[in-house]
Amino acid sequence: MSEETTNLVAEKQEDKKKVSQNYWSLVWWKFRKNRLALIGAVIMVLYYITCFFFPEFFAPYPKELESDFLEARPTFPQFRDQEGNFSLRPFVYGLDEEIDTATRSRTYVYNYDVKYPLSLFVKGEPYKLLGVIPASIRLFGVDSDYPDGQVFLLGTDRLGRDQFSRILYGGRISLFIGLFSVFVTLFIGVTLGAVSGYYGGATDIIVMRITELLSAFPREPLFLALGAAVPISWPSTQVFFMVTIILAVISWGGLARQVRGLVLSGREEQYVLAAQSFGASDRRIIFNHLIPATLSHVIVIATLMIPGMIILETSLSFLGLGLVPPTVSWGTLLQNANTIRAIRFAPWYLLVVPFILFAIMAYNMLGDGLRDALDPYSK
Amino acid sequence: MTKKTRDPLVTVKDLHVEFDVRDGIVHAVDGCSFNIYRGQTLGIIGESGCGKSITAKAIMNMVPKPGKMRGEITFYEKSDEDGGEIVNQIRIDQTDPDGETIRKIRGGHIAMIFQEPMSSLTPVYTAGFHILEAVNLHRFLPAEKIGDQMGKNIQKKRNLSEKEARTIAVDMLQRVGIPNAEKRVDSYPFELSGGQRQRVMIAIALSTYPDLLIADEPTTALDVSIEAQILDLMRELQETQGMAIMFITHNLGVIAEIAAEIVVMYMGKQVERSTTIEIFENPKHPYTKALLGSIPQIGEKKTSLETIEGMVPSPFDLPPGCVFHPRCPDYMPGKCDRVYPQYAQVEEGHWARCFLYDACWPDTPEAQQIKNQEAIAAD
Amino acid sequence: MGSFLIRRVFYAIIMLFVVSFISFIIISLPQGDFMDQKIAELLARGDASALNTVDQYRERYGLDKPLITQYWLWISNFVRGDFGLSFQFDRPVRELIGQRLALSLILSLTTLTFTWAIAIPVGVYSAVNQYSIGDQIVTTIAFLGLGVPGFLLALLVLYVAVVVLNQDVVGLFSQEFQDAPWSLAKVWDLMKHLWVPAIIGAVTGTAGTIRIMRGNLLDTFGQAFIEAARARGLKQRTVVWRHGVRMAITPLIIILGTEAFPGILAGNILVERVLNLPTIGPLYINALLTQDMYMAGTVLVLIVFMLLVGTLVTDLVLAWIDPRVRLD
Repeated sequence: MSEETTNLVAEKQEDKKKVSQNYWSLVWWKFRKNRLALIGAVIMVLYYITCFFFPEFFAPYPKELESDFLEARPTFPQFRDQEGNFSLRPFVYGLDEEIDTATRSRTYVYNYDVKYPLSLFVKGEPYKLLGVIPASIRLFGVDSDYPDGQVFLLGTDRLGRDQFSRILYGGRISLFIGLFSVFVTLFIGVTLGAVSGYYGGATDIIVMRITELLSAFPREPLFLALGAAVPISWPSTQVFFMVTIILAVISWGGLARQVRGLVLSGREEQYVLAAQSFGASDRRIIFNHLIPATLSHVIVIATLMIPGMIILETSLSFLGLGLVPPTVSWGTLLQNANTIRAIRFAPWYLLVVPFILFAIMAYNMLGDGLRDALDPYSK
Repeated sequence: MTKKTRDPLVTVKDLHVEFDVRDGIVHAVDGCSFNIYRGQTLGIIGESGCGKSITAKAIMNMVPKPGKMRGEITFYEKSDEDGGEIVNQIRIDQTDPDGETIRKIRGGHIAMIFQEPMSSLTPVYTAGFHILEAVNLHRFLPAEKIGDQMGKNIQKKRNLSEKEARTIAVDMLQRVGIPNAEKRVDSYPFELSGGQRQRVMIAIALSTYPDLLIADEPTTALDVSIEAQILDLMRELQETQGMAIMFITHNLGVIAEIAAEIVVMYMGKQVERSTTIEIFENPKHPYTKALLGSIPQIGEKKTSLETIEGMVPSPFDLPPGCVFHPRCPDYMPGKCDRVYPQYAQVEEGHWARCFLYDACWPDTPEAQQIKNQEAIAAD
Repeated sequence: MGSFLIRRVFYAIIMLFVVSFISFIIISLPQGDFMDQKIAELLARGDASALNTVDQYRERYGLDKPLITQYWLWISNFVRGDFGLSFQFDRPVRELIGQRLALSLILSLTTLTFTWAIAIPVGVYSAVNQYSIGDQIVTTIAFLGLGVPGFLLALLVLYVAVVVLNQDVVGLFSQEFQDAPWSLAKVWDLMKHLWVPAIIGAVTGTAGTIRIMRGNLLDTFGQAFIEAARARGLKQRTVVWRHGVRMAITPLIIILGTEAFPGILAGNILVERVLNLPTIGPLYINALLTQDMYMAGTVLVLIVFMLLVGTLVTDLVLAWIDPRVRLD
């Protein structure tokens, strides 16, 4: 708009967009724009539905069901058979037992003449949905007309148990530990950090010294050592809780320090002074005012902690510490893949790995998206 | 008073700087034209965000991304070649922002000092190092180490020896009035006060004997007493070195002290230009008048400060016609909001952009028609 | 500066004692002791003779004494360099660790070099060319790399090696060189194998470092002195490295110090275990699994020791490169 020939202004009317300025709606709007974060969120929801809440429905077989097919290779749904016939309904090939003369071990090969069609909502072994509601329908399986048919999407282990089903069940434990340990960590870390930051003085010194001591230990070796201390003879639920507590114990330090910092700057804010002048009790101030102010940071830290917890638990059980078979977690399932023999002859044991990787990736995407959304100054 | 030469040093013609951001295009600088002459001080005044800093950066071809610059900026470089003077015209707007041409100019011929002395020096390098860096880059020094008589007369760029570096640095610091320069050469920025840091910045700028010093709000962050000292220093150095100064500020008092000519900017547009005395005694543009009117005068009895009504408009929602009209006490409805005023000479040596003056009406028939309309009563 | 150093060293020593005590307790937490496990093992093999000599063994190893006494015996020998006896191998802990120390060191140094040689230039490039295609690719890859835990990657690598490349041993040496004396050929063999665990170990580290370098550099670029440096006519490259990176590198130095030193011993324990490398990591895990308490305890304490040393060295380096820190 400089010295042009017509400097006349065109009559234009544009309506202005009204944008809500509420903090949480801004956060949500920003989060929605981040495609990666949305993908992460969707993946997480899928994981929780399939592994955490309803694994019995999504898995064709129960956790401990042993079949006659020991360490059988995966039978994956096919749409086209050997002759090239296309069928709309997926099917799997049968498995025949064979003795491999070279290695003198038993393997299974595909029998291309035997086809088992798959159907949805098959009646399988009965289970209790969410532990309460009795049911027996499973998402998919071999059509009930073929009682001898088996579908092992990811193969079986040495006792003939379907790996795919076990991965789903295992996900329940691993995801739960990841989430639960973070909750406990939050509880300890936020409370101690807030109290430490608010009161200062002796409390602060003690708490900070403890976190310093904790941070003198490198995380992984310490965790492994503590994990080894859990007696293998304990019942699995006890072990489960113990592992969770150990995870929380070694992790709360960093969180506490962050919260302390936030509280330290927060307590000088005007609204705190105002609340104090009204006679609000310290407890009220801490829990009703200061901690909510740290909420956005805490959420981000928590979300990004979860993958780390999952990895730690997985490593622990992978080594044979903490959770051990017969408990099914991703780590214990990975144990099967620990030998060269297994990798060479039964590589499908490794298929747990992508499941773990995707879960971790999804959490990272989610956490990153949350961090960007909650930070008002980032682009 | 320095003799006023009319040797052009930098000429700016129709400068436009646009930022294409998600919500629209921001015209940070919208058609600016002025000349800076050798040895002269030009003041640029305006509110925060009116585009004065961007103008300065444009002259250095340092417009930050995503800004795009358009227009003609010419630098007249003088080089003494065997007695005669050769003026080399360099089109700054056409240089490569990271190319050798502009880098020779930056710091060497045109130096810039910034608003934040606190953070304009790299914290891990000493004052002396900064000066050394600039001198190594730009100054021609006698090439001494060549074994014969000719050596002393050859000027070339080379790195200083440590002794030379110290001498030059201490000398510069002394010249800008830093006490105890010998010690201060080795000081880090955090060891210096704000005023000292700004002096160091000036020392760095001057160590290369530039033709033009652009000072972008150099005293805004300093105490008034320090401010006075820095201004004295700049005036003195200008006289001894014959340097031109482009002084940017929003402070009328300061600009009156230092500038010979003043350009007034509003929302990226030039609205007035003349000598300092003319601007103060005979302001033409309503904005300038309002700015002057808002300065409290000692001895004057008033109950409230005079302000400029309204607020600076959003860059995405500019008023039609003259951008100032919603806040203008001399607003002429039907005229100021329908046509865009030209920048024209309204008196000898005095330019303005306002429809109060005939010269600012564009020549088109439509515009002339509106000009001759009856004045519409404002409602 | 001198008093600062003395204070820190003193503090570190105290820390070390406390840590060693805690470590010892943690290591002794598992029920029973090594002997129980050994007996179970022997019984499983059908050898009941050990039951007779159990008490003698316990006495020999001092396992019948109260915990405090055990700790005291151990720590007083520890400071003299005697780290105790490994039950499992029946050899001094010091000897076993010493054997593997060199390789651990080489592996961690290689990993570190890989990490930093890649991460710093890439991080700088990414920050300087923010939002370019290159930057977006880098950011995505770094993001993915961050999420992949080393030992899972190691499993996948193992699969590729065994199934695709048909190699039997994925260690640090080929079959022939494993027990051979050191020679130039052996060194070359080592190098041929070293890069696999080094790369695996470097993946997570690189990703994290790139992100931090990029983030810090971007923050630094927003500061006034960068613009001021450009305004003095410095080349883009000089501004980026001499002024930008120099300022942005501080947090990375901290990370380097606190991870490099303990990393020598316990860089990537699980990866080493999966790949069955002759380094200290697998030694530690084994000790934990068999309750070889002096071995496990020693490794843990040594790792903490390295961490303390690393922190100290980091502080010193920081004080050297950043004059503002020296005010302490």
